[in-house]
Amino acid sequence: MYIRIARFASLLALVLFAYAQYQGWNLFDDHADSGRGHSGSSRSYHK
Amino acid sequence: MPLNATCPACGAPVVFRSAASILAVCEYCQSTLLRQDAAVEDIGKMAALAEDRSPLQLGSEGRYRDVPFTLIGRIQLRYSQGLWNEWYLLFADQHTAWLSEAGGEYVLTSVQPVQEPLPPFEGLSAGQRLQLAGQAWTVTNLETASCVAGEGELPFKVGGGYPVPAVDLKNTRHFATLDYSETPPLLFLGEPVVFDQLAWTRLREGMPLPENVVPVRSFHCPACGAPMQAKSMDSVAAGCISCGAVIDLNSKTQALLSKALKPEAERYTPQLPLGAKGQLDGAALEVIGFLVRQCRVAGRAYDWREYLLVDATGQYRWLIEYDGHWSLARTLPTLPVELGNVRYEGEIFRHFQTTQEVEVIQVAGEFPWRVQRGERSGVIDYVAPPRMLSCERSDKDLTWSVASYLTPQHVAEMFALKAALPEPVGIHACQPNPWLETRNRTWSTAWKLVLAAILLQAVFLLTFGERLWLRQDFDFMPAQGETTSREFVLPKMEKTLRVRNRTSLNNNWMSLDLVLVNKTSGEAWPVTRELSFYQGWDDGHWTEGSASDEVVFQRIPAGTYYLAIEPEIAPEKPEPVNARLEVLGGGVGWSNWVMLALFVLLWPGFAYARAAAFETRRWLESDHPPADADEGDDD
Repeated sequence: MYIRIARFASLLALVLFAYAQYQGWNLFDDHADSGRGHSGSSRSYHK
Repeated sequence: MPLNATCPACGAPVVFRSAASILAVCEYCQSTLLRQDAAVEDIGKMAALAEDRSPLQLGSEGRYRDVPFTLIGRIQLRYSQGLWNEWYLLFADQHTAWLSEAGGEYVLTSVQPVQEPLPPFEGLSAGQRLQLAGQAWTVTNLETASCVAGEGELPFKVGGGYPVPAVDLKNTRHFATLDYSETPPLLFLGEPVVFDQLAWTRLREGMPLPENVVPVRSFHCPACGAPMQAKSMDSVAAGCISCGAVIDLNSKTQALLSKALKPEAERYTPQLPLGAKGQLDGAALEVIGFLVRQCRVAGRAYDWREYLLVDATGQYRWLIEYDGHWSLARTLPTLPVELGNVRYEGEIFRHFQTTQEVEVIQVAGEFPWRVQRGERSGVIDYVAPPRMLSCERSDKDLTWSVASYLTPQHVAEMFALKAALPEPVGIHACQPNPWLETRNRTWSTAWKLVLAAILLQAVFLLTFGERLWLRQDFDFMPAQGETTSREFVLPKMEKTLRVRNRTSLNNNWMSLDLVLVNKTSGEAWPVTRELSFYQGWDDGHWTEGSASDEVVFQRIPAGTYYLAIEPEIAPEKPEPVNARLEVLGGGVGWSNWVMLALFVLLWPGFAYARAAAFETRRWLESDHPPADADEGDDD
């Protein structure tokens, strides 16, 4: 049972890894839309 | 050429098939006939053979190394532990040999001339090592047997009561016997053989099922009067299950080898009843004996139970139970290689435990040797789970056996028990480690997945490498207002757009209000970044914070962009700051790969820890407890 769970979970993790890399997700990235200050959404900007 | 003669006593025809034979026993009147050239002399009646369960008989035929042979004679011997047969073989090429048969074990030997003098019988002891006929040997048994009787034709004179002092020698491949009944003594050299591999024909009628040919001996225990029986004619001792007395079956008066157990003595009830029949690999087995053995370690008594099993060909096995753990053992016909640890069948067995004194404390059922309570021996155990090698040594015997671990469920299935056997307690010396296979299989999966992840990562690095859209240097001045970067064009939507900022900040802080602006639509993505970097010396160099920064914008559509930047430098230290600002698209990080590798290795890592914990618990019971456990004990 342990071996089956390990195999299933590891394969799932590999698929998730491939998807995350394709999407450009990076666990430790500092995203502009989740960071500090007044970020979070785009807005119109005029010089 | 065979010699045809006539029995002087009864006139029956007698044939000497081997030129080496000098004695024949008339099969009709049991006269012992001595060959003298072409004539025979009647030298008296031969004693009767004791009934046994041998599947062999005179005239049985077989093949050894592709040479056919016939059994033409037999000497039956009795020694302190029971009976054994020496069958005289005549091969098709007229050479002769001996097939020794004892307890279902067979050894084929022939006389070997030796140049060196053989050691005296009195100078040998069990376990002693010696060099003979160019080979190293270990003494495994010393006995003074007596001839019960002979039959067929033989190469020397024998008669009932004829003493035969003999020493058995073994090494890793061969077997030898020193026969001190002749002067000078003879060396018989050979090897163990497997009964089924000798291509037998004309075996004894009714074999191999022993109950068809051996009458049951029924009697009453002389100590308590309980009914007892012995099914095997090989048996020489029987223990009463009611009172624990042990009876000498060779004694006409049924003398006691051991008295009845005292009423207060601890008494075990066999979990497999005497007479229970079972199956092992398709062969029938029967429980004929039960004994309990005990050793003492640091004042504490440890005892285990051993069941003697016999199969249809008369071979014996031991089923051993300790704390609910079972193992099935058989004796080894040759010795394993001893090199500190022990090698047997290509496998290294590690020394587990040496027990100086093991004592038999309870006997029930029948045994092919004169077992008695108080019988002592030393035992050395070596393990290579699921197997265990044991070397048992007494004054006159040295026996190696190999045991394989069995679960209680397996034993219950073997004997078709209706009730389940008790669950095992603790970990047995040769119990298979259940986490080893799990560890190996999960590790096999893990490294393959890590390899796959490396390949995938390589593909992503080649496919989604970083693209530089802007690189521009800035000089930020204190109290400077907003400034803008050069414009840059994103030809397609970027899933991730990184703005990387490397500054000359030193022991200072600054804040940057960054706005990514789409020039065409005016859409903007603002973010505020704060940078601080301090360093100094205080018992060594130290730093705090970073002069660099990176922020990621996600899913930025194609278009022409610029960055609006409004810096704020610390008012308490208003110094200019140089900065190199880069805007990069794509890029593949390693953090996901590291997380995946950790996750995948977590499974074999856990299994490895469990397997190691199991081994630690196993070896805690040995003479070699793990070092950590020693420290724990000291605490």
